[in-house]
Amino acid sequence: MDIYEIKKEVHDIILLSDIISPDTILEDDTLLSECGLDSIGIVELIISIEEKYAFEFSSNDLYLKNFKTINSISSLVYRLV
Amino acid sequence: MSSFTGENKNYICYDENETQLMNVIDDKFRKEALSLGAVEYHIPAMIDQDVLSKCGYFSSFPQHLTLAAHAKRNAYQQIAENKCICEKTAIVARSYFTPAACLHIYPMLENQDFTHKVITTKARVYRYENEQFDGFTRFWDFTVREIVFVGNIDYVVKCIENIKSKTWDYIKEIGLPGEIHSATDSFYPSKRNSVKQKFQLSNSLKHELSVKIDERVVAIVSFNFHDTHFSKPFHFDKTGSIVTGCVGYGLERWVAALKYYNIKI
Repeated sequence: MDIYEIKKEVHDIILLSDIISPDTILEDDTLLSECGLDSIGIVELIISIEEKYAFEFSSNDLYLKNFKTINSISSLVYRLV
Repeated sequence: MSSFTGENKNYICYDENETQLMNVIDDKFRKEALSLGAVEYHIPAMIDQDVLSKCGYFSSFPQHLTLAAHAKRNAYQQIAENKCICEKTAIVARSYFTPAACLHIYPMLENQDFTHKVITTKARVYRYENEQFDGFTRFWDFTVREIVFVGNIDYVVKCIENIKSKTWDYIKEIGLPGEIHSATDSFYPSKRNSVKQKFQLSNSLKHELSVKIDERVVAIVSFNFHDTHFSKPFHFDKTGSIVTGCVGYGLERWVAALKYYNIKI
């Protein structure tokens, strides 16, 4: 699976997880916190990603900085899949 | 020591000396809260099911909850004869015993509009912890001096760091050996809670000040950053930037720690 495919899937997961408004326009480098993504939303996002890719993040993966943008999340997922 | 613990060591009664010690500790942190601009609230022992539900307590910590019950109307005679209320003679209520002091504060802020606020209260709280009661540091019924911070992220983080630093200075001043470390809440084990726990630890959302008592590490203060966990469901996050944090001082544990290290204050 390449990074572009992961970016597209992460984009879809974010919009379908009901953690930010579904009509938000998200670029790969959009700051998700500015779109309303808070820590509760990040926990939901982590669960959705773990279910989608069938792995578990370790504590070392779960720093807030890794969940700032689609780019940062996708890089993390790409490393783990 | 003339304190008295219940048969199951799940609560403690203090004599005048220990009561005075507890009051001195409580007064110290109450004054710290007031110096940060805190207002004082009074909260009761009981809390409604709906409030706990809105706080997410049932999905996070069901193991801690204590349900209130009362006598059935037609069972008074039986209760008088048996000298107790049992399942057959009781009706459970939709009320619980407050498991965390701050949970009462958030409904009081509902729909309010403010930039920041500090609230403090002294409360009795009730947590059932797998019968691990010891009559000294772990009780079902205990007392907390709670300080709640409400405002934007920078403000709440700064307040928590400020009170953490003041508390640290205080234990150094009185010679109580302790350490501040990252911690997690004791969530009920589930997939979602496991993620919450890891996320909490990775991002240092909770710290505890602990002391060693009889080779056990006992937390005497907890410092918690909640983000929007409470401001969103209780709608005091109108600007989208209001978060909360709280600090809780376990007063019976402070008494235990000071007595254990023979520290006079």
